[in-house]
Amino acid sequence: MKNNLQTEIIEDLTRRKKSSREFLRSLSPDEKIAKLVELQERYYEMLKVREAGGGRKIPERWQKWYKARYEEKSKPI
Amino acid sequence: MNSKDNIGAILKVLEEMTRAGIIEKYAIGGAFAAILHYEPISTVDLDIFFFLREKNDSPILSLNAIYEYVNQKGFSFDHEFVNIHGWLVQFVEASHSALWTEAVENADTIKIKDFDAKVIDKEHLVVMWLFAGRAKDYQKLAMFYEADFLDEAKLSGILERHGLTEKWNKEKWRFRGDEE
Repeated sequence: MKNNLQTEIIEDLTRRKKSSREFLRSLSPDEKIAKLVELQERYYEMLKVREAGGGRKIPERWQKWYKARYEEKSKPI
Repeated sequence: MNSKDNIGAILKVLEEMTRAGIIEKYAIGGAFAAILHYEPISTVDLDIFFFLREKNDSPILSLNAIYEYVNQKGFSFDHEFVNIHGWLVQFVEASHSALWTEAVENADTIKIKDFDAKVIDKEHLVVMWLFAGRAKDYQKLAMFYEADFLDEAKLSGILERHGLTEKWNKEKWRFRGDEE
């Protein structure tokens, strides 16, 4: 019984993963870029939480990314 | 203007650089190109492969023309990235590599915003990742291989021309999963 339940859960997760990836692949270039922006934000948040929790420091490249996106963005062009 | 809209602004800057005679041709490469061809993955920067209009004979390639231009425009930069409208852009001069040159010359055109952006095609990207051979390159290679959308004949031709067929055969276990 337990094995059947585990198999169902795995199959359900596999189905959801497949459908999520199919959705992402079907997006237009502009929509994919918007998703990238979301991914960058989430990834940076994760790095920040890891550092705050005593883990590894935020990598230098991501520190530069944050600075570029939020601190120097309004610099007069 | 939010971050995703700024991509149009970056493409405009690249067009301006081309018109100003600083760069001759350019194409988006790296993970950003992978996203445009396939699915969103996280990446910190936007790689631009380009040819300088004015070549210099120095063994050390000077990107001064690029830095002077971005400085004039008020974009900040360091030795690695140029910050264009909140995006980290890495400029990679492509002419010293036959593979990169071919990749830029044969780039696809993908519509982004109102721009016809030049983007390195899937098969050249795959070969460039194979050549670079870092763990993150093999991850992207595996992703493209799994997608089953590569033109095998085109891929074989690129591998052959750039002497990478043997490396492909030797390393394919890394990205072909348990197929073999």
